[in-house]
Amino acid sequence: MRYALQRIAQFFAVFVLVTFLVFITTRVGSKDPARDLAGGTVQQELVDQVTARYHLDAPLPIQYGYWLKDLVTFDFGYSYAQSQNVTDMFKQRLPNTFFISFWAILIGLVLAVPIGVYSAYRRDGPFDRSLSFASFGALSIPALVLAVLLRYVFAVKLKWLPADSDYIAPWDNPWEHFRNFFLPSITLGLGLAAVWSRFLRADMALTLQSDFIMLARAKGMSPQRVLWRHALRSSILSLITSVALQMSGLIGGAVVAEQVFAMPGVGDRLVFAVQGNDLLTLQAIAAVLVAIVVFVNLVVDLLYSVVDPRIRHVRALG
Amino acid sequence: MMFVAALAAFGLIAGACGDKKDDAETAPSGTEAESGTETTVGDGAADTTAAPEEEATTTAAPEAAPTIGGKLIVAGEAEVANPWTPAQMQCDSYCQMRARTFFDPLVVVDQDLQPQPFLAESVTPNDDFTEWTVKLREGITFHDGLPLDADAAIKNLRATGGGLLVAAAVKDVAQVPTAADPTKKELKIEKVDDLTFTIFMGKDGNPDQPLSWPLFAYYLGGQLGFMASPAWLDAVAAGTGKPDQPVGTGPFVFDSYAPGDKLVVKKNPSYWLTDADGNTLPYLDEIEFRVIPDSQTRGDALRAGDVNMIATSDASVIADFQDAAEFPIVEQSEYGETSYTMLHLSKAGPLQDQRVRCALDQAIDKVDLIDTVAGGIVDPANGPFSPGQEGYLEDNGELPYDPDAAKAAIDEYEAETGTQVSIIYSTTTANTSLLTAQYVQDAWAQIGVDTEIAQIEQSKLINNALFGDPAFDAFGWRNHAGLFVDQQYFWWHGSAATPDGGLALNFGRLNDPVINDLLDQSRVEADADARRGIAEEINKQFAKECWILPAWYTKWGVIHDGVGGIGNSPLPDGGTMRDGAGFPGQVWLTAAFLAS
Repeated sequence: MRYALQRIAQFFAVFVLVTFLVFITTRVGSKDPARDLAGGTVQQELVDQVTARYHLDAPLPIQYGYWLKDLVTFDFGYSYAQSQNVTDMFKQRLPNTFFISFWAILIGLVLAVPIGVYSAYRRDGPFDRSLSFASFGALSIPALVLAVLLRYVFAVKLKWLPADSDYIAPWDNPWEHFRNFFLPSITLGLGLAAVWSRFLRADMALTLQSDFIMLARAKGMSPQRVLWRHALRSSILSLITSVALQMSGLIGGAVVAEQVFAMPGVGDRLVFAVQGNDLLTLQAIAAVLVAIVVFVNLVVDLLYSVVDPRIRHVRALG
Repeated sequence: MMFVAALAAFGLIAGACGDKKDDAETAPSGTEAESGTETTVGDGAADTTAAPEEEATTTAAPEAAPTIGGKLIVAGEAEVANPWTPAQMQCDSYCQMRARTFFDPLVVVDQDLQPQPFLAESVTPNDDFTEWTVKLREGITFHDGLPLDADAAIKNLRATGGGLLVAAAVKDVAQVPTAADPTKKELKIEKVDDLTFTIFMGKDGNPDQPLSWPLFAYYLGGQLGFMASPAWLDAVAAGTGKPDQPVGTGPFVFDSYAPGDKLVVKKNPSYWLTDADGNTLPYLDEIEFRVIPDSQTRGDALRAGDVNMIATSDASVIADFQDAAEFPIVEQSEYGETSYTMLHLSKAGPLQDQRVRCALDQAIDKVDLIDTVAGGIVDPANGPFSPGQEGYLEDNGELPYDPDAAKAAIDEYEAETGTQVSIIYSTTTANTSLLTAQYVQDAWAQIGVDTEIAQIEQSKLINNALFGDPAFDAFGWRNHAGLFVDQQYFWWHGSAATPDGGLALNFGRLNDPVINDLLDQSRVEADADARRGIAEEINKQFAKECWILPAWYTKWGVIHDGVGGIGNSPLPDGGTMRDGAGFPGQVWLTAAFLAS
């Protein structure tokens, strides 16, 4: 419990530190924050309104304080550059990024776990060699190239799936949801599967040489039970860590999928915000990403003790 | 994905563009355009803008029986619409195309390139074109039920005419102090009756210096002429209305808008215009406009059947579709834009020297550039006026490609001044823009000029140019569609070259007394031949001074899967309007219908 509280405190500290840095960077990097916030080509009256609304005359830490206060009430501000409330932007775009990422992770895990386990089990055999080759191939292909290739084959040539993906909620129409999200998700998922299967294979290979595995085998336990019940559980920590670490990278990767498949997501908007000096959007996305990444890592950290009794024991000792 | 770079085409005025499939029948030659101009300004607007017959809203039917209903999905390149209030729209081509579904203008351009009254019943100048009287059609209502009357139109014209962008374009409309605040000014417009009002021209807005402006009617066909609900405008101004939920009189009613993603409009069931058979327009139930920035993705979305229509100026994509019979292309290459390198002419340094500017121009092999980045399907440009436009010349005296001469000029300048010529070249993030920039960078390196490329998101790049960001020397640019040189006035006249830091529609901040004088002459000139002569002199001056570095004349393609009624949007008094009145890359969708 004490450990969990410490981690939660760290969560808030990291969140405040990173968002403050992002806030300062965006404001210092802008020649005219008031005009940027007002959308650029606007009358001075609007610039003045924006200055008052966001307290731009105040010192930066005070401005940050006001921004943080608004954030607590989920008021991310209004992006004049996009004529859109930033909260509405999240409502519009976050589901796309979430589902792309969610399905990409799921695809990655569904492929990586059996491949990693069997590659380790049949290490250096034909199965392992072929999958090693395939994994390196998947790792070598940039997501952009893969996305364009998939779009050309499955959308343009075969016309099975859309080239211009659209948001359909899974509960509204599962089939259309699948059709629209499959290509963006597999674009990211294949790369993840390749990385994770290599991680898992390496860990599993070591675990399979451990004494307790030898003992289990000596006791006549079936290979399947040894692999899936004992070896996998002991080898999965690095996989969990990698999944958590990939969360921030996934948002970056989602930009490629979102742009190639014309699926408006948060990653796509982040790029636009950076290029267009859309400061409020930039700060809001950074805050949400920091929150997600820090939160996921917090959960994963807590999960370690669930998965591995040794960690639980060490933490219990303080 | 765009070619050279920034789309800086604001929808301030009505122009026109060609249409390949209709070229033989309808595309006007320069002569036709001129004669049309003569009719408008010479024989008096009475002939061309006379009050229509009683059955004003009955017009020619489309070429094939239209399919009624259905949803059309259109994809375009960028989202720069921002607020949809006509005063604040920063409208590029795709923005105009979308805006024309929920806003109607007072005037449109017909197939003969004549301005024709649309929401207006007549637009009539006085004898010396210093006053324009507009009479509105009766019975037209906004989507919120309010009537379109003189008060509403005057409110719109004053609001839009006072907008940051449009104000510079209509600087020669007279201005008077507002009733509420004498320190502020508004366009001088006098109400005649409930449906009629008169707009007064005045040199630089001075009501005491009436100015003859024979082509002013064209301005009522662009952003200035869009009519929005006065109640909505009031609500937006008061902060209680949403600027992204437009209310106009157009054929479609706003439904939803997700910036950068999609805009959905639905059929206006009580639209005022009908076709020749009496069918209420529009035919479609709904249009979904998507934004797909990458032109290749847009093309693939059309091939995959995800969308019905795309607009692109990416020559390689147009070339890809040219052999695909199932996807007809409306190619627009007349009266269009010029792709060029715009120079930051107010910035101190080498670009102030004509030798340097011309050397940069002579260093580029345009034919090779076009083959390299534009699929070889566009024509090299020699100036700001594209084929068909007033002032276009096949030979305007532009110096030929000559890298040796260019290098000698740069060497001479550097020896004379001791200054190394280096350029910061800003362009958009599109892949083709980068390819172009890299080609230019390489060509300039051959003559000893260092070039740094800065890729910037399109709307930001436009803002940088608008406000004259001193960080940049040159911008990849695409602009200047239209018919007459008067429509280029605010792009090139020194009065629109606000110093850096202020907003300038004259983006490059050109201030050439010769061009200023010629533009002023052109504005008041009613004779088409005389005006063409003036425009040609302007073109030659551009070439002599190398004020811009022309690359090619932009070709636009609207590619679709058999959508009907394109180029057939009816005029209320008979005939059809010319698609792209304002910008190429647009088709009006009032009479569009899905392939059966």
